[in-house]
Amino acid sequence: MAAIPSQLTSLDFFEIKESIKSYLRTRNEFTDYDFEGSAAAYLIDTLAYNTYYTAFNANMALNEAFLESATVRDNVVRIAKQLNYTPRSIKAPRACVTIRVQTQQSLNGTTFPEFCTLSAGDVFVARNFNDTYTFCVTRDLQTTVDASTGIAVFDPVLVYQGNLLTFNYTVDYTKRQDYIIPTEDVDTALVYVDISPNAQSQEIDTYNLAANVTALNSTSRVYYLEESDDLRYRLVFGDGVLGRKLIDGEFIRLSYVTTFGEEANGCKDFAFIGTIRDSDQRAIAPANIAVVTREPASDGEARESALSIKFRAPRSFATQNRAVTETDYEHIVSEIYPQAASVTAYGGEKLTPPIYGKVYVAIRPKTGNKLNETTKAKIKNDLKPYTVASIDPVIIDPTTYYIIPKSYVYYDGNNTNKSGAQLASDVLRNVDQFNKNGQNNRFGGRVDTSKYNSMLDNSDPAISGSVTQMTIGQNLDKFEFGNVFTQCLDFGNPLYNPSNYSGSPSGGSGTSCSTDADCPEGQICIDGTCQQDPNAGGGNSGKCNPSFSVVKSGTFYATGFTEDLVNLTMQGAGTNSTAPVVSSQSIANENQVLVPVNIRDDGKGNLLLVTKRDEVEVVLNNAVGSVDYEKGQVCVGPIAIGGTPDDTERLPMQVLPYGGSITVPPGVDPTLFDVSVFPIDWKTNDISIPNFDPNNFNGYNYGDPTGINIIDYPTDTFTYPVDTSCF
Amino acid sequence: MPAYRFRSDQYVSRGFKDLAISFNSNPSTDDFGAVKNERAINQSVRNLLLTILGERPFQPNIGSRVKGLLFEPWDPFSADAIKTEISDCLGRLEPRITVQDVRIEDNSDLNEIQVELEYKITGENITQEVTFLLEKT
Repeated sequence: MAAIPSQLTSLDFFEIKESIKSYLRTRNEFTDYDFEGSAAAYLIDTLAYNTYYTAFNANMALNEAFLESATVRDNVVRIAKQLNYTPRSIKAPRACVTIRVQTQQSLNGTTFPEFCTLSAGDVFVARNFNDTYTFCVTRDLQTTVDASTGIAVFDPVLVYQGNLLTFNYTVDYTKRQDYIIPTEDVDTALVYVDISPNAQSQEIDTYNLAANVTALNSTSRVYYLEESDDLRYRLVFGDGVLGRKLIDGEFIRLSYVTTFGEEANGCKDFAFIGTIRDSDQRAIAPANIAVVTREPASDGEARESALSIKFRAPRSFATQNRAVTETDYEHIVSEIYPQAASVTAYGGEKLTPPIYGKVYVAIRPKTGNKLNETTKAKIKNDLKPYTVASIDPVIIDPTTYYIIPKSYVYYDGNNTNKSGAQLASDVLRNVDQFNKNGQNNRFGGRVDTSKYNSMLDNSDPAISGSVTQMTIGQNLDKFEFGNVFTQCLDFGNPLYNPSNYSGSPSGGSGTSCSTDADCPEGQICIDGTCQQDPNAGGGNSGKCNPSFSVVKSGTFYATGFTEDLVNLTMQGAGTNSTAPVVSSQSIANENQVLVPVNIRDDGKGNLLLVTKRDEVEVVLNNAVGSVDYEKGQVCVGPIAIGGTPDDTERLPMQVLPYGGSITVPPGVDPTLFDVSVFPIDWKTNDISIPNFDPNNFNGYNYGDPTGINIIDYPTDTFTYPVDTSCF
Repeated sequence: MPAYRFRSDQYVSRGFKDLAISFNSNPSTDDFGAVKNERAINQSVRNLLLTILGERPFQPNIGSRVKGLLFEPWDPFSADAIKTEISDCLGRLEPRITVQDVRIEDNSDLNEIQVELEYKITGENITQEVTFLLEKT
C-alpha cells in the first residue's frame, strides 16, 4: 500500500511539510523537493500552508465550541449564555454625598419654595490619584425646603462614576430588532428601561430586569439581559408568556451609565457641576450649594474576565436557581428579601438534638433587630417555590455573639511619631473595617485570636505584636420586668472552668477559719480550724475555692432584693460569703428600694446574685442559675428582674471562653463589640502580658484597672452595630 | 548533447528532477512538465533569486534581497550589493552549486539589469553560465 502523508492534522507547519516530503521520497516522479529553490519545494510549501490553516481552523473552531477550551471572549459569553449565565458587567464606583441648598425666597417675597429638584445626569467631578472623573445621579431627586430657613438637604445622595446616557428605540414589527445598548462600558445594574406607547406619550412604564422566570406572567414588565458581541449588552423583552410582549410603535428609552470602573475608586471632594432647581423653576446659584462627602467612591470593578466566566458559568448553572444547599438558601433569601443585612442558613440536622426536614434561615434586617412575623411568613412563602419538596424552611432571628476583644498592643515608640492614643485610634479604625467585612458568613465561621492579632499587627509598622483576650456576650431578653423567668444562653464554646485553676490550700487541714467559706472545697470549719467534711464523699482533693468568675452579668435590679435585705444579709451571714440565702419575704415593708445587683458564677457551676456594699461584695442568692463550663451553657433563673438601668428588657451576660479561638455555630451572627486597645511602648515599658494567668488577678494597669485575666461586669446592653453606611 | 552528463537516470536519487515552473503540460504525455538535472538547477537558481525574503510561509530566510535592491538608486555600490546578495543567497540555499562569478550589466534605460551568473555544479567539473534579466516590476 502506498504511503500517504500522515501528519495532515498537525498544528506545526514544518511537520506537515516534512510529512509531504516523506511521501514524495517514496515516489520517483520528482527528486528536488529537498532543495528550497525547486518548484516542488514551492508547491509543497503551498500545500503545507493550506493544510496547516485547515487544521488550525478545525482545531480553533472546535476549541471555541466548548466552554472549557474557548479563548475568544465573545465565544465564551455565547456558550455561557446557553447556561443562562450573564457575565457581570463593569461596575461603576459609587459614592455618597450630602447636598445642602440655601434657596431664595419665592417671587412673592415672603415664603421659600416648596421643594428643590436635583436633575438626573452628570452632577459632580472628583479626583483620585489617577485622574479627574465625572459622577452622575441616575434619577431626578426631590427634597422639601425647610419653610423657616429655606434650606433643602439632599441626604443621602448616591452618585455613580460615569456619564448618564440615553438611547431610544421604537418597536417595529416589520424588522427583526435587536435592542442593544450601544456602548461597551455600561454598568448593567444602572440600566433603566422606560417604555411609553409612543415617543410623545407621557405615560411611562418602567421595566425591571427579570431575575427568574418562575414568577412571571404575560403582563410582567420585565426585560432580560444578555451580553452580545463586542462587550455590548442586549435587552430582550417578553414574548407574551414570560413577560409582556412589546407592541408595534412603542417607544423604548434606555438610560445607562458608562463608567471607568475600578480606576475611579477613591474619588472624594466632589465639586458640583449639576443643576438644582427650586419649585419656581429657578436654578440655585452654585454659591448656595454645599456638598459634604459622606463616603468616597468605592466598589468599582472591572468587567468579568473570560476566565472568570468559564469558572462561574457552570457553577452558577449547577444551582439551577433552586434552594438545595445552605448557601443556595442564603443567596436566594438575600435576593427575595433585599432588606436583609445578613443571612445565615443551616440544616436542622446540625442542631442538638437534630431536627430533620427543616432548614433554618436566620435573617438580620438592615433596619431594626428582628423581623416581624408577617415578614417572616412572606419570606417563607416566597422561598417555597425554590425549595426541595418536603424541606420546610423556617425563618428565625439570628443569635448574635457579641465578641469583646481586649488587646494589649506592643509598639516601638522610637519607630513612630504617633502617641499611644493615636496608635490606638488607628488600630480601632482597622478593627472597624475588619468587622464590616463580610457581613454574611462573617469571619468564616470562626473568630481566631491569631488572625485578629495579625490584623492588629498590620495596622501600623511600629507595632511589634499583640496579646488579645476575647470574651463573648449575649443579652438575656426573654423576660418581663417583675416576672420570674428562666433563660438559657448557649455560648457554643467551652468556658474556662475556674475549679481547674483553684489549686490546693497551702496549709491543708487545720487552717484557722471562721466560716466554712474560708476553707477549701471538701473541708468545713470546725472549732475555728478547717477539717475534712465527714459528709463529703471519699477521694476529696481538698481544693481551694475558685478565685475568679467566667460569667458576669450587667447591673440590674432584682425583684425582692432591697436595701433592707442587704442590711439583714450583712448582719446575719457576714460578707463575701456564698453560703447564706435570705428570703426577702421575711422582711417587713420598711426600705423597699431595690439594690443594684449583678450575677456571676462561683467557679463551681452555680450563679450567684451579688451586690456591693461599702466596696465589699455581698452574696444575696447563691442559686440563681447554673453554668455548664464544658458546653458553654449559662442558665439564669428562676429570678425576677425588676428593672435595668436603661429600662430595656435586656440584660447583658459576658463569658470567658477557653482557648484562643471562638467557634461560631450555625445561625449565629458574630460581631465585634466594645473593642478595647491598650498600646504599650515596649521601649520604655517592657512588660510581658500572658494570655491567661489564673494566679494573677492584680491586673495590668494600662488604662484598664481590671486587667486581662478576669472579665468585667458588662456596663451596657449589647447592641448590634447600626449600619450608618449610605449603601 | 548536454555540456556534461549526470549519472544514469536509472539512479534516480542521484539525478535532479523538478516540476517546470511554467506549469505547462507536456504535449506528448499531457502530464506536468518536468525539468531535469542542470535545467532543474538553473530553474532553482532563478527561483531563489526572484523570491523576496518572507514570501515563503513560515520560512523568512528563504529568498534574496535582489528585488528590493533593484529599486535602490543605481550606482556602483548598488551593483556590488546585488552581486554580493546573489552570491550569498545561492551560497546559503543552493548547495548543488558553487558560484564562480557574477557580472551585472546596467540597462537602466530599459529599467532592467542583466545578470550573468557563472557557477560550477558540485561534483561535476563543468561550469554553467546563466544569463537572465532582472526587471523593476
